[in-house]
Amino acid sequence: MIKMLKIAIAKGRVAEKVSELLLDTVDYRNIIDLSSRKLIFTNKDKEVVFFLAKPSDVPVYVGSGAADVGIVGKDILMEVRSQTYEILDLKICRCRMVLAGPSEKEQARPIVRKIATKYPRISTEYFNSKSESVEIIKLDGSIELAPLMGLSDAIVDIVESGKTLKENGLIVYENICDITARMIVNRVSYKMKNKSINTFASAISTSFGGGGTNAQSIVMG
Amino acid sequence: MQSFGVPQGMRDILIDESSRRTILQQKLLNYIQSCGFSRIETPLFEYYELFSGGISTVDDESIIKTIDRDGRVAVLRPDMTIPAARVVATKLKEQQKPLKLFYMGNVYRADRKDPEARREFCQVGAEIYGCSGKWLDLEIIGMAKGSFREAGISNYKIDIGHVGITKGIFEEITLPEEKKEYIINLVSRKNLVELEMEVSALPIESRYKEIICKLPRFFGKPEDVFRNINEIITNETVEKSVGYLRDVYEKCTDMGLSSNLIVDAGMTGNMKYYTGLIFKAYAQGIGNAVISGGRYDNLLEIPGTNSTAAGFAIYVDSMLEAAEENIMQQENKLLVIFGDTRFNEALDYSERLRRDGAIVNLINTDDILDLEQYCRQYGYGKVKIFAERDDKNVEDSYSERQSG
Repeated sequence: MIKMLKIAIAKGRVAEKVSELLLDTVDYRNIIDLSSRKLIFTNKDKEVVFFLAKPSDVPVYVGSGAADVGIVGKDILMEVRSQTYEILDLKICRCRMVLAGPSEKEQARPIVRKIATKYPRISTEYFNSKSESVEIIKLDGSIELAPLMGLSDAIVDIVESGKTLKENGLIVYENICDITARMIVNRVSYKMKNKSINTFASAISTSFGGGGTNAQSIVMG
Repeated sequence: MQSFGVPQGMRDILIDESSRRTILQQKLLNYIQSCGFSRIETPLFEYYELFSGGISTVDDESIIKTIDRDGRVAVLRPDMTIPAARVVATKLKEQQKPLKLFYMGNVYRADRKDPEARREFCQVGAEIYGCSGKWLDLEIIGMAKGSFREAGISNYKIDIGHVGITKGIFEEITLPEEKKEYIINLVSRKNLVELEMEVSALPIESRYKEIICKLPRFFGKPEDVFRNINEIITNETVEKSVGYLRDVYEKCTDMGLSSNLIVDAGMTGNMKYYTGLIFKAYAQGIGNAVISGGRYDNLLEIPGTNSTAAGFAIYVDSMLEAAEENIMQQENKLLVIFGDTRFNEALDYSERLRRDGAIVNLINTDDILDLEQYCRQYGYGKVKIFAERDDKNVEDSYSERQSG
């Protein structure tokens, strides 16, 4: 187990995309099978273990060294700080972090006081940077409900197409930042298992095209 | 009932772990002492000013502060190097140099990025003041190697760098100080994604952009790093630092460290603190550095030291985790049970064995409810019973059992 490269992948959309990317690689195809109920996928020949974890747990596994590598959305990395190296933008699962709320006719963005979100830290920092005083309400899901039911004035959440917002009569007030899936590595693993980490990073980043510069420049070790 | 917990980030270290930890600490302390170092002990609380102004490797927000009765801010020491330097600059200033000191103690850091993280760390460390040239650096690297040997850890890497490389590269670049600091921070955190985004937007020559982006990836086997090192040499400061690093690497190879060595040209560390060579040491399977150290000349402007200083600190708990199987409890443990009338006999017996280095626990027969369980919980492999003379049911006995 100790020599194996342990890779934590965020369950859900990221895992789906990553397993698609891996289909185009020579070494890592057909290891992950998302149709099974398994959480751990081991390949002894390639000395690699993939496992599926809750997105917010991925930085925890990587930070502690229980996983060497993690693949997870930038939204999670901004919310759950960890002492890891962020070495690659996989440019998949692209979406936006936005401030959204009910559409009003007169003004583009009404004054907001109460914000419902799954991302209290990102929200706090955003409003701090704008020197606005707001109350943050932490929710765990279906954030769109909050302004509709009068719990909050607006929400901070990720949107992909904006369809869910539209269906609930909400509009985007402001873009906060762009989000893509990132590859993070444990600080010690990056040194101790540099070769296998680079092999994996190159494999996965050439398979989506346009990542050549990254793969090329990772040459050391 | 009221439940008794401990504050955030603190923990109790109990019987088994604590005794293995003590064994490791003893080994490390004995080793450092055998290198001719003298021990010092400094208080747990220090004045806040000692660590402020950015000279500490621990950022200001992570320092745990309290207010003393006189209104001054006292902090739980976030590191041991600065208190040691304070002692050298004041109470030991008349002492002839070179001065070699070591310490063991807890340091406290409340990481603002990770509120759940541990806040109390035990460190064993050593500092050298007033030696010349690179012997200082070589001695501490050699001692890092020796510490791993004492702990019985063979699968480790020592990762060396030089702050002058990054410093030199950024000397050439005209950017607001704040921006520079931010970019250097991204380099040291190896945040390649953000770094590339930030750097691409900077108003600087593309040659520098390339070098800065390359820097965090410029590590690996020493031969590989030095083969390509010319790619990042932009001025005399960088060249000198690289030359120094190469020299240290060659001398480390002579010391038999070559397969354990990594060179990281992009390693930075706190620039207000470190002035030259820096290093970190890792053990297989441990997610944090086990040892960190480096050169910090001119810290607190210590008089009469040739102004040179270097040191390293071992994170005892990380090293204990890495040494797991190698640090065993003492095996020579005996439980002696005595009946009321035979206390003196049992005591004499115990003291004799204790003088020979055994661990002997003496207990009255009435105080032990379940002998089996007691031996299991406390790891006694042997039991000697001095039975009451009139007790026909129990005879004197000596038994060896499976411990653990």
